[in-house]
Amino acid sequence: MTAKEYNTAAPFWADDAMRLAVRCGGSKADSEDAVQEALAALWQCRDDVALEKGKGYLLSATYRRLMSTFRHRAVQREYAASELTEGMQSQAPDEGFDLRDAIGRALSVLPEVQRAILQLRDVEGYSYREIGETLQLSDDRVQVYLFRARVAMRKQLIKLGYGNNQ
Amino acid sequence: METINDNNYELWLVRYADGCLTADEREAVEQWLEGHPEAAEELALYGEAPRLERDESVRYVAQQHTRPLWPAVLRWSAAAAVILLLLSPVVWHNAAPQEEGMQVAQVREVPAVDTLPTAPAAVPMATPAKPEAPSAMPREEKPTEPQRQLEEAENYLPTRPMVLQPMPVAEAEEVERGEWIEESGEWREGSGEPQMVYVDNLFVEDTLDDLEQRLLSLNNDVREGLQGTYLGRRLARRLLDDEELLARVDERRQRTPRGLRMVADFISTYSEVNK
Repeated sequence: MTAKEYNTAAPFWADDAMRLAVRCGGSKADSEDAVQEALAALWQCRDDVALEKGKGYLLSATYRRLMSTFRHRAVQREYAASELTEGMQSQAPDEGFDLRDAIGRALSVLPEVQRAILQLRDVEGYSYREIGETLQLSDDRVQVYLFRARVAMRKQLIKLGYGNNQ
Repeated sequence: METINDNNYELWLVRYADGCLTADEREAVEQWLEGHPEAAEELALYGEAPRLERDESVRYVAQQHTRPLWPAVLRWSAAAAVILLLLSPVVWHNAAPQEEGMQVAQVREVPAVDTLPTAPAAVPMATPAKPEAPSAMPREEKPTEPQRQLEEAENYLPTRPMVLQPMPVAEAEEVERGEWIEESGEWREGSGEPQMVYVDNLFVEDTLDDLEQRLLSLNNDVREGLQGTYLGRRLARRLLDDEELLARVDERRQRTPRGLRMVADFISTYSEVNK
């Protein structure tokens, strides 16, 4: 891709990359950093990346950088996740959060890779193959993770009181 | 694919739900599910799970780097303006009495004044000023571009750390010319290869340590060029508004590495000129 193509397309891709990072559990700062670094990486190798592959490259690079950040903070994240899970169990459904909040809470207990797959599948409309290329997983693995993610999310929603009439 | 079993049933169920199986395969899955009610329940949960929606409230804010490249005329105008701005502090330094023991920017350490790399945030990276550039630039735009830069610098009040941003091509590509090695006092010749220069990545944090480290990460040419740039004024704007920071700059200029010292010098000059 040319510099001009990069400058034209990057704003749109960057928003999508940001959404992916936030969906995967990144804080605003971490997500922005991941996107920034991914943009820098894309810029540097723009000559080798075709325009149609640019978004996939950016999403993939953002995800990998975010995961790298997470690995460095593994202990803190696990602690925070356990706190959040405990908080969820005591949260009654009628205490002032709607389905969107509930989905957010349900997602928060999923592994990052499963959240990323849900985001790419539902929001970006990616095929299993595209998701696999973005996250560097096999197609089969993507489908298995997607299955587990949806089942786990649904179970969490039921726990939160969003059972039959969500 | 292997027939459905306890180890691969998730994959089969996804394909079942997606309608990707043949009639025989669907029948095999349904038969298997009859003997595995937990899996059947999971399949139901899978189907009931809500689909995520795009959250439009999440935006990537640091997008100034993605603006379209400037038209060629404006690029040349900006380059000429930056060169003019670069020259002014050198003149100030030469005119002002130097403090004892303080190193100041010296022209002899700069390979060529007209090739100083600079990167004002709102201006494409200073491209080497070619002789024909001024003639290609409309005369009436000469005074407006520096004025616009100055206004932007004056109004710049950072609210968050500036993070790494790729720049448009005119800003980002710069030739590695060489570097002044402080310890040995020698000039190291650069490779002459194009490289990325993130000049605008500089930012005055609450502490000057960060600034110092970032300055040190740049090559000597870029540090030289900082004095007369948008960034220099931005630093000045930020530092001059803070008495404590300014005092620390004054203190550090006596002992810190050359890059920061030069910026500090520029800030002091800026301060005196604007008194």
